[in-house]
Amino acid sequence: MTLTAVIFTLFALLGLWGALVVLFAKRPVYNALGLLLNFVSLAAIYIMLNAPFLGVIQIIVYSGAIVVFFLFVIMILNLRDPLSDMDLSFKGLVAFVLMISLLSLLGVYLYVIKLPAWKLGPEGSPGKLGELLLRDYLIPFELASILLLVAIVIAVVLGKKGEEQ
Amino acid sequence: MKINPYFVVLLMTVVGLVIAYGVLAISMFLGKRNPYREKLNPYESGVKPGRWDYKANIQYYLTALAFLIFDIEVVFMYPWAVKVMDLKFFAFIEMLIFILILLVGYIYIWRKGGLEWQ
Amino acid sequence: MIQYFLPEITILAGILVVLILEIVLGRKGFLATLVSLLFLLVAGFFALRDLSLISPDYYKGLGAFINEHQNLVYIIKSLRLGVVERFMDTIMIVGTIYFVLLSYDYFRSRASGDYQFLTLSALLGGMLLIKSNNWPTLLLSLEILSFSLYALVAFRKDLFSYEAAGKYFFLGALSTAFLTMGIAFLYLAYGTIDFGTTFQRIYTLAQAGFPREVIILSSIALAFIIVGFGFKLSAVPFHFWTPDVFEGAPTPTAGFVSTVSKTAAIGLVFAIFQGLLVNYPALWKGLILWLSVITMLVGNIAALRENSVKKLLAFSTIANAGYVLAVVYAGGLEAVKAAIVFMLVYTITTFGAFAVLQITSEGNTHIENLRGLFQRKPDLAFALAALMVSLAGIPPFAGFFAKFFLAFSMVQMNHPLLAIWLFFNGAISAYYYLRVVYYAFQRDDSEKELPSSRIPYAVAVVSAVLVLLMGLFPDAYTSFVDKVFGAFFGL
Repeated sequence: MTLTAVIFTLFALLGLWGALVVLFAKRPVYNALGLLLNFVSLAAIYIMLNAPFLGVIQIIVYSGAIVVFFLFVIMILNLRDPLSDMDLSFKGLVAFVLMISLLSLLGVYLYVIKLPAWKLGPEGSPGKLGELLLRDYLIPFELASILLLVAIVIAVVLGKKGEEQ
Repeated sequence: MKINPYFVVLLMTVVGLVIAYGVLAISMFLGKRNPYREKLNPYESGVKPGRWDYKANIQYYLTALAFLIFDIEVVFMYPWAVKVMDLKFFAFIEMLIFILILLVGYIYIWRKGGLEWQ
Repeated sequence: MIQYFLPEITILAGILVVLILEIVLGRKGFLATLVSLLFLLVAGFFALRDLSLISPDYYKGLGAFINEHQNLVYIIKSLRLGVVERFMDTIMIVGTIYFVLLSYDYFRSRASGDYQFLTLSALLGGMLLIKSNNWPTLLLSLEILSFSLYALVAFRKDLFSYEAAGKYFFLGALSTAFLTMGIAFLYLAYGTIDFGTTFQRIYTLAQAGFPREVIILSSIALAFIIVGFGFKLSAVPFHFWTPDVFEGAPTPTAGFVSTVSKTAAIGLVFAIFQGLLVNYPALWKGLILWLSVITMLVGNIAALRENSVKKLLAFSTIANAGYVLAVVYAGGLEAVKAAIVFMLVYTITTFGAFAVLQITSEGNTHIENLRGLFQRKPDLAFALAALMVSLAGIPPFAGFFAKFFLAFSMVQMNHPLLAIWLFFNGAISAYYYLRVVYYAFQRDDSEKELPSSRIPYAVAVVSAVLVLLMGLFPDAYTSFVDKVFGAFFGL
């Protein structure tokens, strides 16, 4: 096992742990912190996958801003009480079984087949990313600004109280 | 010898952890302990900790969201800044359009009072 | 360059103008509606102009221009231009015009700049969605469309509207997550996010035989992608949100989700399955077939027992999505033409029905509430009857011809059973559509007054007349579609 594999396994398990905390923790703040753990491990994995810029952005935007945002929402809603238990009714159980079978099926499939080995390119570096964004994917780049504009308007329309007739 | 560039990051993390936990450990082993009630309080001054019982203002929500949106806008500028010299005028125009579109949104929030604290 | 993208540029300009209008003048519902309508009409004009100018040489000028400006070649690599996309644009613009008119009646001064902004951005998202030529463009335009729709559903700002928007948002976000997962697997299989390159790789592999890992990865990818698309289309295992969202959403928005968003989804499904994956039919043919067969049946059966007219129209939306999915399965040029005609007729008819609903059933969408429509507003009752009969696919209304073209294209591609299934489902649907008409013509002795709203009234009557005329003279528009397709493919 190479060092890379060890580090990858470490962060993958950490990320999985974070995801499980999000699912199973009973206190909303713990859920948010589990999400944080997940985001940070994901950032480490991005860096290992030759995408340092994405990794840093993951830390700044997701771990920094978005988790803080989640915590704000938890505070706004004043969610002190523990969340209710998992849904163990028949429906919930069926969903759970289906979910597990989907995951195991995927796992088995991906384990059995030989995945195509795409070489890690320099696409993750800020320079190459800039070139791709500004030249090859200029339309998605501009669309991102429109999407952000839509987000701004929605935030104001739905988040702003008052001035109703 | 070729060192993986992230070896430095790993080293940094390890050193950081060692210093942080090391200091704690040192004070744990070497320090004298003299606990009394006031000292055991989480904060020695300010609000008494207790049941967390207040609702944050909804204003936080809008401010946080506005921050998030412009945070992401800035994220797009990093790759642009690296490559703008190579792509010249073309990239400049693109970023101009990008910022102008978001500028309209910024003025919109401003005018609607999204940045004011009531 | 610019002249090939005029409708998109017009809508983009419209987005910014209505928002600036809101910034400068504040809440001006009437003015914003007018400006928005103006931009829509101009965009519609440009789209039609594009269609009437089309010839096999039409895009040669574009090619020459791009050869001179190498940087701009990537615009074409992100956005595909073509005659099908333009037709879908036109239909979506027609739907949005309906939406803006009905919204003004519904929201009055609140239908101001930000409302029009969300409307136009939803339209822009839809227009770019069907043209997207790589996955990033597709995802971003899908999100622009979806987010605008979530906000439009929540715009009434009461509990029902928030509940509907919440459901729509959570399920929509989940479906986008599935779609993204599918895209990741597709990327794993083909190593590219460009449709053009994916298409070429599939073509090459189809000659040589697909390696096992590509087959498995593509199947996993497709399973996820179909969940994402199925949600947008409200195809059957993924349709549960539709009735709830329709019930809680403002009536015009329900109409918008049922027509414009659906047209975008149909355009997208056509582009992916009859475009991107057309050389790999083994992958998706069976799935789409069963999806369409079940969608038709479940949508129609569920509508039979439905007592809320809005939910009934939701199930009708589901069933109609099934009809169009069937021609996605059948394929062929006739199928595309039939789908275009069908979506146009469907948009006009459904929005007409929602206009009637807006007058009769505000706050109470129960079917009993339609009682006495004939004795109070006989012309509105007749309009509703015409629209419902058209939706049921009974001649001489346009709905019949639309459905007939669909079935005809299936028969042409050697799927007569599918055509029979379509008509069988049409027969089931006749029951619940005519049930609505039955209630509208019942007597009602209570002293209820209908609100006198002129806009939905005019919209409903005009739609009914249009549906009748389009049914009596189907050649008028089908010949235009034929002509444009003939000109585009140089037939």
